[in-house]
Amino acid sequence: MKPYVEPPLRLEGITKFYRRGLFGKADAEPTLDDVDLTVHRGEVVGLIGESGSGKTTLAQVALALAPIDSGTATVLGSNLHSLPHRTLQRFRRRAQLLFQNASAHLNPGLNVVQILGESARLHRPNTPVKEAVDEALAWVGLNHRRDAFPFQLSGGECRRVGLAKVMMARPELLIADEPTSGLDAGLKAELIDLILEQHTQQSSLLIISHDLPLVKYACSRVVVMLAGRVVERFATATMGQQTHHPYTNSLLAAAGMGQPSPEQQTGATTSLRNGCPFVEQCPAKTGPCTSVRPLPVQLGPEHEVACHALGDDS
Amino acid sequence: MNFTKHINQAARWIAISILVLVMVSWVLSLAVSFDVVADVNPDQGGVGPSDKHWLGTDHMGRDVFWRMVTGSDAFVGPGLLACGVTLLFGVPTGAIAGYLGGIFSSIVRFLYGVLGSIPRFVLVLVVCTIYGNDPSVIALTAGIAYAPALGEAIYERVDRMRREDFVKAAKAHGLSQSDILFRQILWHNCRRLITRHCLFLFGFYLVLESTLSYIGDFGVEEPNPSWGNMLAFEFGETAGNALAWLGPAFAIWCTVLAVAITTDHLSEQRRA
Amino acid sequence: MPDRTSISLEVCNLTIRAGERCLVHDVSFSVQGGEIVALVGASGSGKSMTAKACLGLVRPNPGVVDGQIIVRTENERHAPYEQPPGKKRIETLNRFRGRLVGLLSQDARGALDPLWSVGRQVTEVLQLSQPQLEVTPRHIYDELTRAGFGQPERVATLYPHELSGGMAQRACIALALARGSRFIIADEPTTGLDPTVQYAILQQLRQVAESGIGVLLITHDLRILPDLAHRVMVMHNSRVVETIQGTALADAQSEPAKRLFEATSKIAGRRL
Repeated sequence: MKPYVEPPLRLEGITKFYRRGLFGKADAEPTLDDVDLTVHRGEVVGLIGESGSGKTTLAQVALALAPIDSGTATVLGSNLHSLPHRTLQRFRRRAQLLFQNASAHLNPGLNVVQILGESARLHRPNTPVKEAVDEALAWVGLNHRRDAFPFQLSGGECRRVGLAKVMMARPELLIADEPTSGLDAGLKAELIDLILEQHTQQSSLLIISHDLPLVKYACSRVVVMLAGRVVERFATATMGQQTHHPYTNSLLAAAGMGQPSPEQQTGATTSLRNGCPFVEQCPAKTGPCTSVRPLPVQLGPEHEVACHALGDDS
Repeated sequence: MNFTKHINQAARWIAISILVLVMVSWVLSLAVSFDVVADVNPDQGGVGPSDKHWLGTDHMGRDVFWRMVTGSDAFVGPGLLACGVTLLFGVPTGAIAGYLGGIFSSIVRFLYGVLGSIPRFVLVLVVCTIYGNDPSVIALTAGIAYAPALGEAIYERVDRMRREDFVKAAKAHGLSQSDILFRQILWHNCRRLITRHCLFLFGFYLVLESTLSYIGDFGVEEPNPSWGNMLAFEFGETAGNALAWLGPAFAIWCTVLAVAITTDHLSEQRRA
Repeated sequence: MPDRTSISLEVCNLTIRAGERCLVHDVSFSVQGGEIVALVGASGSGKSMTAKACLGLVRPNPGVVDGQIIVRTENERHAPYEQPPGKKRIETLNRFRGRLVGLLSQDARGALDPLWSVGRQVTEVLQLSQPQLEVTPRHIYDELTRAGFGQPERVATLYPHELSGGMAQRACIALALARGSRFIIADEPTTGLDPTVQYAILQQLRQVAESGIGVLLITHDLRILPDLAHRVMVMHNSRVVETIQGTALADAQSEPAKRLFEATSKIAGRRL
C-alpha cells in the first residue's frame, strides 16, 4: 500500500445546515460553519466542544455519514463525499468512527461473541473467526461476558465491545466521539489507554470530547469548537500557559486547570453568522464582537485564535 | 412461583402438540383419499363412537373423525397462504419505510392506516360476495387485511434502530445497506416478531373460516367438511351423536388456544 | 447568624440489605448547615442508596435494616427509622421531606413537572412553604435569581422540555431554595452536563451552602471536589473506607481511595 503523504484527514471549509420538516427546510444557523481540521499521520488530535458545538456532526460528516453543504472532506486521499456508493462502502473499513452512543455498535439481537464474530468475518477474513474474536475479547478484558447480550452489559462494557468491534477493522484513521462520557474516573483512564494502545505511527486518531483533562492526557494537539466554528487551535504542551480564547479559558476554569473566570451564565450561546458566538458570556468582549465574525489569527507557531480581543491588539 | 412455572411449561408443550396435531391432520387430509363426502349412510346416522367410526357419525351417517381430519384442509392450507401474503405485503413495506423515513414512511403509514381501519372480517365478507367462495381469494384478502398490523410492527422496530444510530454505525463499519436491513435488523431482530404475527394470523384465519362456514353462504359449502360447517350442520340435531358437533367445536377452541399460548411464549422477554 | 451546629442531618450506623446482599454497611456521618459533604465511590459502592435512605426513598426490600437518620433543626428533631415501617414512618418522613431536606437528582428535567412552566412550579412551591404569601411575579423572579438565572423573566415562561440540562438543574435548585430546604441531597447533579455547565452549577451549590444550607453531594467525578467539598467520604463495597478533608485529597490513605484519586489525577493531569 502506497504510504500517504496526504494527511489522513483533511477537512476544509466544511459547512452544513441541518434540514428539518417534511420537505427538508434548512435551519437559519449552520451546524458547522466553515470548519477546517487536519490530522496528520501518527497524530492524536483532540477536538474539544460542548453540546451544540457541532462536534458529533463533524465526526459523521468527516466519514460521509451525513451530507455537507460546502467544503471538502479528504480522507486517506479521497474526497469521500464524491465517491460512488460502492467504493465508499469498501473505503469505510479503513476509517472508523467510535460512536458516542455505545449501543449503536451493538446489535441488540446478538450476543458479544456473535457481534464480534460478524465483524471478524467482515474485516479479518484471513483469520479464523474464533481466534479473532478471542483475541479481541482478551484485549478489552471481556472474556467473561462473551455470552451476554447488549442489554445485560454495563455502560463501560458496551463501550469496550464497541471499541473491540471497531478495532477489528484495524483502521488507519479512528475518530472517537466522546469515548469516555458517562464512565467514572477509573474506567475513563482504562478506556482511553486501550484506545491509545492501538494507536501507532501508521494510524491517526481524532478524539472528540468535552473533557479537557482527558484531551490533555491523550492528545498532542487541540482544536476548540464553539457553535459550529473553530475558535482556537493549540499544542497540548502549551495548554494553560498562554493567552487562550475566552471560551477556552472558561473550559480550563471548569476543569480546574485555569483561573476561575467571573460569574458566567449557563445560557445558550447565540450563534450569529456575523459576530462571535461567545459574545453573551465573554468577559473580554469589545466593539466588533457582536457584528463582525472573528477570523483566525496566528498567535504562535502552533497557536491560532479567532477572537477580536486577542487578535486585534498585536 | 415454581408451581406457575410448571403449569406454563406444561401448557406450552400441550399447545405445541396441538399445533403439530393440526399440521399432521392437514398432511393426512391431503394424502388420504377417504371419501367422507359421499359415504352417506342415513341409517347409521347419529351413532356414537365405535371401532369403525372413532368419533361416531353425524346425522347423515358420515364418519365424524375423518371429516374433522379432512376439515383441517379448509383452513391450514389457506391459512399458510394468508401468512405468506401478509409477509409479502407487510415486511418489505414496513422495513423500507422504517429504514428510509421521510415522506416515504409517511405515505406507507398512511396507507396502513387506511387499510387497517377496515374491519378484517367485513372486508372478507365483501370480497366473498363479489368473488365467491374460493379459499385462495379469502386467504389473499385476509393476508392483505392483516399486512398493516405486521407492517406497522416492523416499521416501529426498524425505525427505532435507525434513530438509535444503529444504522449509521453499521454503515460506518462498512456494511452494505442490504446487509444492514435484511440481516442485521430483520433477521437478527425481527424473527420472533414476524413469527408471532404469522401465528396470530393463522389462528385468526381458522376463526374466520369457521365463522364463514358456520354462517352458511360463505366459506366451505356442504358436503365438503370444514370445522365451521360441521358445527353448523350438527348443532341443531338434538338426537344423535353429540360428538358430531362437539368434536369440531373443541378442535377450534383448542387450536386457537394453542396459537395464543405459543404466541405468548414467543414474546420477547430478553429485551430489558 | 444562627448556630449552625444545631442544624444537622445525621446518618448513624445505617445498614441497608437486599436479601443476602449488603448494599450499605454501617455508614455514619453528619452534615451541618453550611457544609458541603461529598460521598464518592465507584458505581455500586452504595453511595446513591445512602442518599436515598436519607429521604426514605428506599423500599422495604431492599430495606434499611439498621441505623438512624436524624434531621435536626433549632427546634425540631425527626428520626424516621425510629418508627417501624409503615404509616408512622411515612408521617415522620413527610414532616421533613422537601420542607427540610430537598433532592437534586441526576435527571433534572425528569424531576420537573413537564406540563407546568418553571414559573408556575416555583409559584406552587412558594405557596406550599409560605401559605399566607400572595405570590407575585416579583417573588418568582427573585427565587430564580437566587438560583443564578440571569434572565428570570424569560426562564419563568419556559417549560421543562425547553430547558437545557444545566438550566433544568438550576430550576431544581430554585425549587429547593423556594421550598426553604435546610439540606439538599444532590445525587450526581452534574453528571452528563458539559464542563462549563457543571462548573457553573457547582459554583451555585457552593453559594447555596454559603447561605447556610447543608449539602450532601454524591458523585463519582472527583475532579469537581477540590475547592468545593469541606469533607469527602470515600465509599467502597458498601462501606465508608475513609473520610478526608476537602483540602487534603492527596493524603488519602486507604487503597480504594488512593486508587480512585490516582485514576482521576492521571487524566486530570495534575494532583487533586
